[in-house]
Amino acid sequence: MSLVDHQPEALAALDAVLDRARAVVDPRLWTLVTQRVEHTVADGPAPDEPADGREAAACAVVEQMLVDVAGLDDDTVRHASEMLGGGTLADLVMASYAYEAATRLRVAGTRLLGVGA
Amino acid sequence: MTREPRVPLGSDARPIGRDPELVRLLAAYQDSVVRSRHLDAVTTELVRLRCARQHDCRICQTLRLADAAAEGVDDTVTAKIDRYEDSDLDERHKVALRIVDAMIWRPTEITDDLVEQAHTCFSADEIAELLIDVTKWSTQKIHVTLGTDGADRLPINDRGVAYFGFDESGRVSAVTSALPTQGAAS
Repeated sequence: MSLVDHQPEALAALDAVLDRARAVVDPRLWTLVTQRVEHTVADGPAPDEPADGREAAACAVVEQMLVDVAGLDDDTVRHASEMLGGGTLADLVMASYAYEAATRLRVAGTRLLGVGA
Repeated sequence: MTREPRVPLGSDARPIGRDPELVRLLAAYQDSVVRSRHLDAVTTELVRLRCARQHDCRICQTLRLADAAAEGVDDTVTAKIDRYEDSDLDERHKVALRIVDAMIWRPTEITDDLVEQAHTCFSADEIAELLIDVTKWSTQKIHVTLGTDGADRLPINDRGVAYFGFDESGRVSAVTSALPTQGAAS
């Protein structure tokens, strides 16, 4: 049995978060986020480079969240908040968290409980 | 590290302008994780505190799960989490914390040994819950990122902690400075 067999309710709830995240986050930023998560957490291919200052500010937050959230500094997050808007950044951070959680579950679940996680 | 809020906050001390449906669905996910009750309270608390310390979430490090405290998870036990491999925590709890670390840092590097240890110490249902628990507690990364993880609103006691529990729906039922009488917080 895979992770989804053991935890169908929770994983359905996480899928609903991901569906909403895709709907509310700018598609280009969503792509940059998911590429970074796959690269960092699941050894996926190298992500696209940010195309402008707005994308760079968003990617800086997401990349540090992925490797060591405690190392994020005020300037990085406040700059992203100024570039994107506070609510948009908060949505992006929640979306990034959700995709990261799903990816970590996919990788660890497959390893510990079998394919199909 | 001191962290002030890094995004504009409303009067409810939460970030302004978030998508309310995304917030609602994220809360629903967390509730669904909490409603899963395969793991014992002690293991759940050790996993929660390991996540809190790895992510440096101030509010989560300040809180203590009342059910686990009632079962003996006191300051002496929680002090062993940082250097758990060298501690006298039992093997089941060390394995749980190894899984937490693998999830947080490099899930692709989960070894065959750790897989074997996991299945020796835990049922498949418990392993599944442990994994989703790590993601539930890791929602703290959102608050740490936005600088909204401050513990200043908690009713902290003279030992610097506050106790909490969950109701049947998976929501936090109470946060108190004193350990509730057994059964009152869960």
